[in-house]
Amino acid sequence: MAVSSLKTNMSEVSGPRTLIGWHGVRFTLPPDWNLMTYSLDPSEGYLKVDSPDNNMFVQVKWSRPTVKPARSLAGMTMNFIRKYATKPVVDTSEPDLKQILDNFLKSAEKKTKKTKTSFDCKVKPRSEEANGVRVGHPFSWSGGGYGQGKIWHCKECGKVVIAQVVGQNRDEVGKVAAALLSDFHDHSEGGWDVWAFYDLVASIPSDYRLANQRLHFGQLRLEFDKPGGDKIILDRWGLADVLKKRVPIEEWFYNTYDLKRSKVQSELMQVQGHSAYRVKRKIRNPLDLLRIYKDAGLSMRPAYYYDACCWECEETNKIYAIQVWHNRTVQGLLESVAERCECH
Amino acid sequence: MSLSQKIRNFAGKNLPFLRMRPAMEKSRIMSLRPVRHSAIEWEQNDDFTILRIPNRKDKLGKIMTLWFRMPETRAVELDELGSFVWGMCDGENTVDKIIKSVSTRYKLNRREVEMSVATYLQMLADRNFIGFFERGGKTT
Repeated sequence: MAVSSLKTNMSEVSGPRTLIGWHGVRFTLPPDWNLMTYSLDPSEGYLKVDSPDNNMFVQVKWSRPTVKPARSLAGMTMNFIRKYATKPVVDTSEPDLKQILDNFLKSAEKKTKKTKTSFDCKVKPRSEEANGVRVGHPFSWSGGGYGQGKIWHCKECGKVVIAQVVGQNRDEVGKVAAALLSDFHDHSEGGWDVWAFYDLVASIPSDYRLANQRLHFGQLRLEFDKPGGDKIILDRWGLADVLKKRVPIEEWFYNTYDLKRSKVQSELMQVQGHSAYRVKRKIRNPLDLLRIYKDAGLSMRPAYYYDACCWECEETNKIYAIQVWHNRTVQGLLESVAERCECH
Repeated sequence: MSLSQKIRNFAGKNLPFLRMRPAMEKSRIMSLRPVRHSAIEWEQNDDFTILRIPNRKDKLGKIMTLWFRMPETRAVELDELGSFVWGMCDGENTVDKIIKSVSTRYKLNRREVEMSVATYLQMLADRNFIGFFERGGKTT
C-alpha cells in the first residue's frame, strides 16, 4: 500500500482553532465549536457544527454527482466493477450552481416565513478559486438571523459544496464565515482523509469508507472498511485515570478487545512519544475465517491478518486503540494510522 | 411558542401523572441548580459513594416494610464520576458549572460531557434523589 507523507500538522490548526474533519471535508473554526449533526453517507454529506454558546452554527452540505451507467449489460458490468473498485466515476462537468443555490435559499426562506420576518438574500457573481479548481458563488441572507456562505463546485473531486455560517450577529457571522471559507478543504489529500471532531484528530486512507460510528460519553469509535474485508477500527477512550485504577492498561487492552495472550504475538512500539502495546496474529479460528471469507466476497486477498495497538496519552487522559484487519499485501498500515492519530 | 409546546407545557404543569416535562430552553436548563434530597444520607469513599435511600414513611410504606421485613434504607452505589457529580449537587453549583468541572477534571470535551451529565442528573431527579432550584430559589 502506498503510504503518503501527508500528516495533519496540529500547530497549523490548533492554538486558537478547532479542526473539524469528516469524509474528506475539513475546515477550522474558533475554539470549542463542536460537531452536532453528521451524515454517514460520503457522497451526500451533511455537517452541523455549533458554537459553544449555541448562538451560531456552521452548516456544510455536499453532494457528489456520479455518472449513471446506461441500462445495458455493459453498464451493469461497469457498475459491478466500480462497486468493487471503490472509486466511483465522478462527474466533473460543472452543474448548475445557481439552480442548486436557489433551491437552498428557497428552503431557508420557507423557514423564515414561519417566524413572520422578511427574507432578503444576495448572491455574488461567479468567481474562481484555487487556480480555477473551484468555481462558486458567495451568498448572504437575512431574516430571523444572518447567514453567510458560499456554494462551489470542485473540479478535482466533483463535489458541490454549500458551506454557511448562521447566527444573530452579522459581524460575528461575517468573521467566522471568512475564516471558515479561507481554510476549507473539500477532498482528501495524499490519499488520506482527516477525521477530526471533539478532541480526536486522525487520518485514515481515503479508500476506506466509514461503516459505523459510536460517539458515546468517554468513548469515540470509528469503524472503516473497504471491499475485500479490510477493516480499521479506531477507538478513543476518555477517563484513562479512572480505567487505570481498576486494572493496568495492558491488561485492560487484552480484556476489552478479547485478546488471548497465548494466541497473539505481542511487542512494544513507540507512538507519538508514548509506549504502545502492540499485538498481531494470523486469524486461524474457523468461525472467524468464515466471516473473513464472507466479507472478502470476490476478493482474492482475504484480510487474514490482525494488527492492533493501544497507548495511553497522560497529557490528555485518553487511551487510544487501533485495530486493523488486512491482507498479506498491506505493510505498515497500523504504524501509519497510529502515527497520524494526534493524541496531544 | 408552537401549539404543541404550549400543550406540552400545560400538561407538564397541570397533569403531573402524565410525566410530561415542560419544554425548556437550553440556557434555562444550564442555569438550574441541582440539590440533593435532604432525607438521603451518603458516605463518600475513595472512588465511590454509597447513598442510603430511606423507605417510604407513609402508612402503606410502613406496612410494606413490616410485611416484607425490608430494611429501613436501601443502598445505591455511585461510581467515581457519579460521585463527583453527586458531590457538586449542593444547590450552589449550576448544571453549567458541573459540566465545566467534569470536563476540566477528567479532560473531556464539553459536548461529550454535556449530554451524559444532563442525562445522569435527569435520572437522579426521576428517582427523587435530587431536585432543581432555579435562580431565586424556586424549586422545579
